Amino acid sequence: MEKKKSRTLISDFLSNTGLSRRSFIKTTAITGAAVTLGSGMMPKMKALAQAAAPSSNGMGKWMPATCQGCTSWCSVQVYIIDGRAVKVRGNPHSKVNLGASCPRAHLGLQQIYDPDRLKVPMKRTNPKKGRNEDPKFVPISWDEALDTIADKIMDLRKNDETHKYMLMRGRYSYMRDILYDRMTKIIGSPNNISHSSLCAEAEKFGPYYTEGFWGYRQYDVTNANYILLWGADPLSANRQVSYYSKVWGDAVDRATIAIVEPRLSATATKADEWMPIKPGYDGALAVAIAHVLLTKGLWYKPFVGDFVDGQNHFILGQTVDEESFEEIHTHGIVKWWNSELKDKTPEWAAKLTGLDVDQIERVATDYGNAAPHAISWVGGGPVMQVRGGYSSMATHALNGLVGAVDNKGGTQQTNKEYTSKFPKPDDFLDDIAKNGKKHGKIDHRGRLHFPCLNSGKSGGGVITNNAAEGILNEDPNEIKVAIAYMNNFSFSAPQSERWERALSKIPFLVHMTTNASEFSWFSDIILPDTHHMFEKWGYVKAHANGYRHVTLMQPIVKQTYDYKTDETEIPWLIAEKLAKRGFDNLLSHFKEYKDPETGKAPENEKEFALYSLKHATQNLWDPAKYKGGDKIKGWEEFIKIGVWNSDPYPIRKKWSNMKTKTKKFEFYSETLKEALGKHAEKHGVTIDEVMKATNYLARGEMAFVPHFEEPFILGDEKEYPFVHVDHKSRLNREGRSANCTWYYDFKDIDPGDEAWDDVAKINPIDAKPLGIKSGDPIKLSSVTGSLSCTAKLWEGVRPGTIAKCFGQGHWAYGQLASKEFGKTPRGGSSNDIIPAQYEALSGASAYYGLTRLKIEKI
Amino acid sequence: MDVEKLLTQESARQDAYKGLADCYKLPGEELIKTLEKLGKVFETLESEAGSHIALVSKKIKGPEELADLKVDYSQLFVGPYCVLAPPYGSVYLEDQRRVMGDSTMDVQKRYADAGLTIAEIFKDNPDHIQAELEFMYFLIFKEIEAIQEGSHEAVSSFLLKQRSFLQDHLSVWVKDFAQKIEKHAQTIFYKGLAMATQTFISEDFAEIAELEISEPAPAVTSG
Ligand code: SF4
Repeated sequence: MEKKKSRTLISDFLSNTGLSRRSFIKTTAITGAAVTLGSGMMPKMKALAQAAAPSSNGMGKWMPATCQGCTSWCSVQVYIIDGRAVKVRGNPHSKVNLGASCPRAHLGLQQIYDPDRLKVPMKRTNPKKGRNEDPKFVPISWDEALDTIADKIMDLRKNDETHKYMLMRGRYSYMRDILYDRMTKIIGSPNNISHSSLCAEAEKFGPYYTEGFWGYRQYDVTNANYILLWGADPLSANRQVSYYSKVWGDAVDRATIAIVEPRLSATATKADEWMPIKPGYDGALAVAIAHVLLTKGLWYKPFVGDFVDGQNHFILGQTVDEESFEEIHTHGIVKWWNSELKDKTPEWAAKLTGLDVDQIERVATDYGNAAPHAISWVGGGPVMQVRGGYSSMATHALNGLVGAVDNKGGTQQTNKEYTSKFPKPDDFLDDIAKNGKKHGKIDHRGRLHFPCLNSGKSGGGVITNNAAEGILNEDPNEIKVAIAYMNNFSFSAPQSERWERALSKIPFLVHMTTNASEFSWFSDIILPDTHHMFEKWGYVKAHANGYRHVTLMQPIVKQTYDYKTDETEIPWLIAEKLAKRGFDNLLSHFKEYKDPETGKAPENEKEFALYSLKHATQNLWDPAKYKGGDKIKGWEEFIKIGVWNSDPYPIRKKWSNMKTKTKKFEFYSETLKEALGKHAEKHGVTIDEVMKATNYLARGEMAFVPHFEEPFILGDEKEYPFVHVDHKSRLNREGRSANCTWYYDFKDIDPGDEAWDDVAKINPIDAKPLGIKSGDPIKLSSVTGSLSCTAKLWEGVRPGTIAKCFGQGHWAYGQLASKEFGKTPRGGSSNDIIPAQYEALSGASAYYGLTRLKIEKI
Repeated sequence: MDVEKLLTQESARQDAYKGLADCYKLPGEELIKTLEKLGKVFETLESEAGSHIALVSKKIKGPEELADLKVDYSQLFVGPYCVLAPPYGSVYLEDQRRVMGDSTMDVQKRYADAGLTIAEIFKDNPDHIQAELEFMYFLIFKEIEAIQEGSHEAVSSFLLKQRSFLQDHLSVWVKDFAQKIEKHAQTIFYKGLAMATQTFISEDFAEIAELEISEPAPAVTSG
């Protein structure tokens, strides 16, 4: 009964219409009720405030953005209503992705609006670190977080220990050098470690040591007559998935498409020839194709040249006199033939690769007949292997034989773009910093067994996954303070468990990320990062379709959480804190990043983020600085379009003008010979000893030519009867899709995979004798670890191999990502069964043709 | 007509929403005072919620308990990993477990219609429990003003806004939200707070749902 009090009172009030304002005031004055009088007052509130502007009319707008769901780096547009992102499409202004986007672009919407995102800075309250130690993070202010970080850095500087500072980089934009390079140098450490070698360095190795190009190629598929793909799956994963998906229909109509891949990938389902090769034997197939091209006289003579007498002397088993062949734009064709190719027949390759001899013959012949519009497309599969460096060369060298290099309907390098570098840090390096920088790097690059010959330089490339060993063994020194951003090495690096131990060992670890992950688990402070597609300033560049674009990232949504940008705002704020502690070199350096329009130095982190971007891209948008490509009238127009396009790719300009030692396309790599020679000399050994230390079988001259190497596969065949085939998904936004429902809803768009499950694909021929059926829970084990998932019987995988997609198996990545948070992962992480091994010449982590597996029902 | 009683009553409602809103902030020293006040308010309202608050407020004495509360608060409402009781309406009112859904936009629109927006310093979504509770507080504050002004139309308008907000948002998801807290909270405090929140809102909604309020003229219900 009592409960009705309020209702009765208010009802009485509402029905008593005679009560006037005056009589009311009198009443309240007499009774003295303690309430505020008068309209228009604002009550004290914390979450809400008076709105300055009236709300919008609910109409939306397409805003320019950039997708970094994979390293295609497409220019996109996002539809924004009332500050909220609601849909995504390709940016029609880009000549690289031509208004197209791929399926996983849309998952960005589920990422930004994931309730499990990191929303505020947090600190660990459980000092113990380990997989079974809940960090017990609690929110803290930005001030507290930054003060703590600055104190730790200052401690290192006071004790001349700046080399014990480390920066780990995951996914980046081209604003990266502020945090990655400048800040690390000015603090005084040699240890800025990027994730690049987890990515695809071996893929660049072949192109570099044949045509002098350390980078990703673009493939002119719409003008090609033959496309031969090696483990590349451009309809699913890296690179330019949007572009290739858009034009693949035309490519299929025009060209013959052959794909070398043990698994029926998305691209394989649309190919004319599927070559389900035994993992690790790609090099054998490549040299056999080269053998056919030469013996049948199918090489492209305007590029390679010909025998002086016009006769073909490339005859099975016979060596050729070098003088008898006159090369034009290539170097070493005869040496290659004599040392490697002359006996490598399709029959020989068929035995090794498990492929049909007629198919090898046919593919090689048709490929040669399509010259020079015949692409040999080197993907990660054949090369991210322990002995994949020479497969990278062999598969790429086919482009040289058919004259597809730097040619229409062939493979092309990158177009010119005109972004500028950030101001140099040199004047801001004090003695502490200079001394600190002299120390050796924590990843051991450049040591005898890790040449990492990026662009010809010993130790020129990173060997990311080995940094875990460096940290664990304190070799060359311990790491005391580390900052990492947008990486998740304890999930994304093979044999991830090593990273769990390494990270637990670092006394002070900071992680900047959009979502707390397996890496954050071991961190002391975690900082909420911006989502690249919607929330930050930045830019990236990418190339395809004969163009290069520079595409902008912009804050286009209303800010919800208390996030800041990793590569610009956060380093600025740290610099401010360091300056307060008496070390202002970093801040003084950052103040040099002036607004090109006003000449004004930045005064806060927001201005710094904007000015540094304007500085870097000025040549693209400032008409006074125009150098080429799209003509843009000014900054305002640039941010409206969101993308700048280069001039079209100039073909054949690099013929006899390559960045190799001979300026030619090298079948006998003088460039590699020199690089290996320098590395050997640095260590006082012979090149053969380098070959041995890096686990290669080649000796003598073989080290300089593309050749087949017996694969290095771990695990005894009797105990581990199957070879593991790792692959990527159409829906993996890096490894960050696992907390999105759409990822699971649509997982079956990956051939052979199932919605809401994580399956290992096994050929029925293999599964039946083991009594394994589709749907059975199974355990896959390698010599270094195991994972649990579901069995799927599928004819699309080569007998003797088991294919499993990367992406699931998170144990700490949000509610949906694990079955039971912190305890049971959803599905299995491939990196739990992939051993930490390397293609040491490039520093790349090996993922493929690397390990044998056994299956058990559970 | 007992206006004084009415004002006391409505002020208590107003303070109840405000007090609850403050309880969903990161816990600090001031929580103890908030709870004390909230206990009194529920007494005035003769709400069942009072018993839940009385039970838990005794447990919080000082920094030690507050430290535990902070960890519990984080895991329930912030994360960083797996927010156990997401404090956002859209998670309950829509599928896919996302924030910033259509329901969130509806909440945002209601704020805007009342001349409000999310505070710059708040840095969270519009349908966060704290913001929604505070919105009820604001509407009651305005209703009280109107009572004092003797403006029946304005009173009706603010009551209708309260009713439809509870009906479409807060009272719909608070049950599932409270259940999640009860299931996952490590501390008695948050379990009690969940009970109190749910109890008070359902009592209040039951009362307001049965009120006969005439639709005010369109000019007042800006839309
Ligand atoms: S996920 Fe990759 S291919 Fe797809 S739109 Fe984004 S960057 Fe482009």
